Amino acid sequence: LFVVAMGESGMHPLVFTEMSAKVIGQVKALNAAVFPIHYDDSFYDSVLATPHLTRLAYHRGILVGAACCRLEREANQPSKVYIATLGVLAPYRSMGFGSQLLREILTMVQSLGGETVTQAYLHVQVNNDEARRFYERHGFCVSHEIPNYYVRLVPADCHVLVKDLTSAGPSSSA
Amino acid sequence: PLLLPPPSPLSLSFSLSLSPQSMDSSKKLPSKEAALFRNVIKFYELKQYKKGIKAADAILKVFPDHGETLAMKGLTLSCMDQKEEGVELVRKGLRKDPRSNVCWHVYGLLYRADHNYVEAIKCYRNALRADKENLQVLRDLSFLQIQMRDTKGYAETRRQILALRPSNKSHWLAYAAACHMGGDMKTSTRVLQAYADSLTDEDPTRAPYERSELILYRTMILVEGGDIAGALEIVENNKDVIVDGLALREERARLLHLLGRLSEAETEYRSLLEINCECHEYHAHFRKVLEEQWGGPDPEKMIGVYDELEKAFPHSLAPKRLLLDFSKGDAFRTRADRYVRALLHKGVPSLFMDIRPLYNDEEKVSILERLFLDYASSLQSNMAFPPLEGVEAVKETPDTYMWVLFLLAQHFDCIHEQERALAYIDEALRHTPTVLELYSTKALLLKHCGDYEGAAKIAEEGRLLDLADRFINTEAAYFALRADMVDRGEQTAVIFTKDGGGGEQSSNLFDAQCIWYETRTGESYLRTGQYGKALKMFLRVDKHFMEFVEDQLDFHTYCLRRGTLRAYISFLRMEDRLFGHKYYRRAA
Repeated sequence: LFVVAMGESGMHPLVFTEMSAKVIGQVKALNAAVFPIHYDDSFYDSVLATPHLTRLAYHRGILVGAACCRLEREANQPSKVYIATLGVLAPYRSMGFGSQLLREILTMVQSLGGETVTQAYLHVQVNNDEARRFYERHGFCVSHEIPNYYVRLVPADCHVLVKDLTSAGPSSSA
Repeated sequence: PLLLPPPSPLSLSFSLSLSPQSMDSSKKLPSKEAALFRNVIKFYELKQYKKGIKAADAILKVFPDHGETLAMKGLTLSCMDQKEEGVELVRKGLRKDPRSNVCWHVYGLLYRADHNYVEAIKCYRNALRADKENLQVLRDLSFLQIQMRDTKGYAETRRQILALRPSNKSHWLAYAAACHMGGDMKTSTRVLQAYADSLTDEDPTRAPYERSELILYRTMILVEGGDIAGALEIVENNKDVIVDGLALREERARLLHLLGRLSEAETEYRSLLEINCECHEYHAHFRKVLEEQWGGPDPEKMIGVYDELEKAFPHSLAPKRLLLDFSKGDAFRTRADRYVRALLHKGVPSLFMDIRPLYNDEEKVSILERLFLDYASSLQSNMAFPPLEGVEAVKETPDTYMWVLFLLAQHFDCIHEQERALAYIDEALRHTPTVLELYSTKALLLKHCGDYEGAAKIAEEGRLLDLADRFINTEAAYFALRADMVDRGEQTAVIFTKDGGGGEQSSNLFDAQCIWYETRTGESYLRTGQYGKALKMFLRVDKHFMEFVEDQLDFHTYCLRRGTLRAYISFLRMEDRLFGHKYYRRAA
């Protein structure tokens, strides 16, 4: 899957692909640089099981961003998409790459045949204002707080950010 | 590995020409057995060995001492995995009929299959004694002679073949090539001239490539024989025949240069540069031609010429890069600044390797260092290069800074300031940890520091970034071997072999003629004192080179048939120099 998106850096469009086993090392390196949490092998195994729910973002041939999601289907409940990780390497932020990644994910989710995904949600550490503002710009709201969500981080609490996907049509460009 | 599939050792294409003489010495088999004998040969050629044996046995029932049948049966058996019996029978047949050319020919074939060319040649000569004009034996003999580089013998045999069958065009070419290899350019030229003249009645549109190659080959021989003017004449007169357009121009340029017609040569090289301005060979010749016209090197003039070239070909890298070689001081700084920042802006990983030859000049090294450090601080604070006259100021993308850090790391490594180099590469890795080149360069750096285990570790980390990248796989294997982690090195290297790690790994690497792997593994064993294993590895390299020599055999027939003589001759010469190859010297 190759999707090319023209963003602010129109001269160097981001190239999107799905995760594959051969480049998992790159994603691990990226996540290790971006997130304070360590994701172990079982996480990546499950991600590889559903590569269509991932997006890797390449800028000028270099992997600068990655997103991994999960679909959650509980009995008698409409489906939700959980954004497990979405990150861009620090030097490459404020260039609109994160927004493009998020839009990619939401577009992909809403074009999945067979089920309607009604909600997207994720966890953000309570002190991570930058991340929270980012998602709020994209139509997410803080739904509630979970104390002691992070075992090894300080602060350990997180916000749950939620976006209702049923209201508008396909996500409009932010 | 060759393009031709290797023939199985014993199934050689071989047709016995049964001349009347050989019929005599086959002690006059009656017609029924004579027909059976012809079948024995046919079945051998068609590889229908069982039928061949049956037919042979039918003859032997009636004529148990018929030497030639015994010999043919032996030959057939040797193709059926019954080699010892086969050889015995051939010898028996020879004893019964020592003047039969068939028997000697067969015996020669057996030796050839065993790669014992010296003995095979002897057998063929004996066969020829019985039947001087047996074309097949002469041909087989000729190929072994050239394989063994008996150029005199080869030329003589080829002359005989040509005399016997002048209608076959490859015989002419072969004789000419034989004289060429033997250094007799004059005869070679005459032969080719005669052959070319005989072609004039033929339809000129037939076999255009072969005609073209013939012209170029004649040129090659004339030049080697010292008749450069003659060579040029042929090229000029046959312009339309030569289909390899580039070769035509290159030849013309080269010949004009050799003849001292320098201004014409210059024109030719300029037009070649117009076709391909990146070809450093053209540039080298071009510069020589210019310098000869000027009566010696003249750096100022050269800079002028290349300034013009740069303007004429603004997108070409070669003139810009060459100007860095010629210029000095402030002029060098300005040019280097333009050149390097353009490549950094593009994000070219091989930038350092490109400018590395400049590092022989201390002054240039310190100029470059100043430039790179300025880039780093400017990009870090402003995301842009320092201002430069005539260059538009643009905001750089974030990766440009990473490439500068990368460049600085390689720079300091090259001038043996390893600590500074490490600091820069680590900063680059923190900046953008998803770039493969950073890992392999850090591995190299650590190796230079003597930390072989650290190098292996980081190379492996890099490998995991892209499991489909063969190059980084090779690097990881190499660094593992350098750190004497032989098992790990092998496991890594086999990932890209046919079976990918399961089963007979070592033999796959051997078949792939993976010489670097064998040499490095051998060296590792040397370091750890396991001399037996080391020797085993180095011997493998030796075996590969012997194979390279062996593999020539098929090409003698193929190249002569196809008329690709220039390539063939340079191939033979390459083989002559083979054991000087640096891979071989290193292992030896």
